Amino acid sequence: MFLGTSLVGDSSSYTITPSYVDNIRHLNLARGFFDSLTVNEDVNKYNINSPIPKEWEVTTIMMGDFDETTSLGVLDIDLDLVDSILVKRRELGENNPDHDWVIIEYQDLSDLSYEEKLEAINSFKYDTTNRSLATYEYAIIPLVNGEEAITVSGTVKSSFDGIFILDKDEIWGTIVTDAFINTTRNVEKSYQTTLNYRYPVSTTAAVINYDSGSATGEFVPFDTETCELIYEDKIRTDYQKRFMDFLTNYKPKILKSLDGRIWLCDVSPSPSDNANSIYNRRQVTFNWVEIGDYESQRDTYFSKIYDIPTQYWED
Amino acid sequence: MAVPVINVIKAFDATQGTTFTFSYTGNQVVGIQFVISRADTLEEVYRNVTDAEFLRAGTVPLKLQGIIPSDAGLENSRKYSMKLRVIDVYRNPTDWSAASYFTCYETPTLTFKDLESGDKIKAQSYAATVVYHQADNEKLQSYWFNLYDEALNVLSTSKTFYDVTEVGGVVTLRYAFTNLSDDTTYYIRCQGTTIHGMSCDSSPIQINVDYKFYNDFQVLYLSNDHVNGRIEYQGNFKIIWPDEYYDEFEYENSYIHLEDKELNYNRGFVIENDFILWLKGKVPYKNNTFLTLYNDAYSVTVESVVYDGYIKFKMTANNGLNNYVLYSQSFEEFADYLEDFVWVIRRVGHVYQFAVRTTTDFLSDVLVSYEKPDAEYVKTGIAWVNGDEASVIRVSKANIITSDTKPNKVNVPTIWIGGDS
Repeated sequence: MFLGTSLVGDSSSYTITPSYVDNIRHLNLARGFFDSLTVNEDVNKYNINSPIPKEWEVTTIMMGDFDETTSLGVLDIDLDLVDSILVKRRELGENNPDHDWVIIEYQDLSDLSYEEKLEAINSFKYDTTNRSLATYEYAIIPLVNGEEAITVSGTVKSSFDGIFILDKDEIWGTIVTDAFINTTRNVEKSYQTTLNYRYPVSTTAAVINYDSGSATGEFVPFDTETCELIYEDKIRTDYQKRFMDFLTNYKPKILKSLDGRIWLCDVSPSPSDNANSIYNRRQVTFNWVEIGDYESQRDTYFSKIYDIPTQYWED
Repeated sequence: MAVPVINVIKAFDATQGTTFTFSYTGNQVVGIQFVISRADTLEEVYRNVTDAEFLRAGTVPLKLQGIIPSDAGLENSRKYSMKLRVIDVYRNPTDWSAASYFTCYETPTLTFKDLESGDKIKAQSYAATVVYHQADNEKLQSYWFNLYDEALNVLSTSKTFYDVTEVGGVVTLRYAFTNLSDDTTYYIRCQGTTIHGMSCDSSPIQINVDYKFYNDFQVLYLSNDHVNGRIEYQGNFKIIWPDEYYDEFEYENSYIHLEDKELNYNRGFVIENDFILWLKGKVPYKNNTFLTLYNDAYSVTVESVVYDGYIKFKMTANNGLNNYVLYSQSFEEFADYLEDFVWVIRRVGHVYQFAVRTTTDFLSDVLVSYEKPDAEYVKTGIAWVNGDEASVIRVSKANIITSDTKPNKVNVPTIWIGGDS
């Protein structure tokens, strides 16, 4: 045995400086035939006797089976070749029988470094054009030479309270329970009478078929820390002025409600702000007209909701 | 008396023959005779029946069509003329028709580029590239694409394209099949027509769509933001390639050959602190360092140590001041690359564990710590250095529990522990 009783400096002494190596960013593998390599950070789940995990997990750092590839990532694409990414979304279920996708984001990565590309793909983002009470599949799709290299997707259930109205840059909402939207379905028909028939003849104006309506709600600031509405005059009035400016900025908008209704619409003149029983309980009311299909790539493009280059459209 | 008129004969492959039609106004036709000659020399190449046979035609009414057989002696890349006469049910032969001209071409091909039947498609769309080829340079006039389900029912058909472009003598057609569903088998097909009416067909090619669908957010994080009325999303892409190009290596039975090569992974990942690593493979019966993990200053290595007909594996964690060394069980000498091992390194805080096992058997387990490990790690065959977190401790038999044979070489200030239990 090598263990003796000497003090520091002797060949049998041991300096107990922590020996761990942190922030390992390099790995070299050589001089052998290798079948797989896996690194996982979950040392509570896996002990030294655990079998090699077969699936990627959130805690997987690298994993590869060297089956005609040297990739140790979850995606075996070459990020150097990726020039852009698309984010697509489609509603699952009866509302979308053709399983059509809508592209909600396009990002040009061609001038970015490897690390910048990875950061861009993995950055936190959000989609405000979702409908309540729907299940969506979202997909992130890296493009190589403009063609889809791989699709990564997952599903999420969408739901929210109140009414939200948004354009490309802003989203405003009211979660108070007395918000509501009334609608009218507009179709065009005319009736002509003839000399020799008792009843009038109806004439239909082809495809005209859209909603219009009015929305009302207390659009007041919401403190996300305390989950309380802020009725303090200065804060409330500034907030409501900015909201009125938003409603009257002439940009097409998406209006959506907690019950699953959603429209691509235009706010028609002129929104009003009225007291409801007391002076600081304000209710904003605005009328709107549906101007397109919120799931149409073309309609949302020309409404400036999404800015997706036309060559990527699928409809 | 009326004479028959031969309808246009589309170009066809001489090795396959074709069927042609003609028009005739008169009594019921019971026999036809046609003669094919080379258009340039007028040399007769094929006659379907002799004059005598023609005049002895039976009484069975015939359709107004004829068959040019594949063994008619025609050659591709040649132009031919054909004349035809018929005999009616009253034994009246007509005069010969006017000559009709046609050309024989080798059947053109449409081939999906870089695609083999059964290939896996990793996206919800597939950008197909099809190469058109015709030996006689017969031009392609139009083409279209079909998408079929697994039972070859047509799911969709593209519009017909007429924009045929040729670059460097190669005609390449492109089309994107979109809205493909995950975990689904499809067939795709390209068909076309040449300027002389020849049909071409890629035949249905099977593709299996298998893109990454994740519901537990390991690659795509999705969350419903109830308060703000939005869906949050974030990629969690881990894309890790070595500096070397994958095509530089040989692969066999899912093993990568690194006898005289190496893989260096230098970007796309970071092992911040605790980890567990599994490496499965084969190494030669030699002294070699085959795995190195390192940061800008320090490293963790695994090497093979050969001695006296045995081999054991050594894990070294180096922090610049100490080597934290663990040895595996010993294995008897084996022929190069015969044994299949799994090397496992597990780091928890200051504690490393190192185990080597064969594919099926766990062979050794050594753990070193300056604190007594948790009870779950203290099993037969486990060793630990007992002490507190002082910068220096005195090592004696009293505060270490281990047993082993001594390695062949011990370096100062290396601490080694290895064992058969």
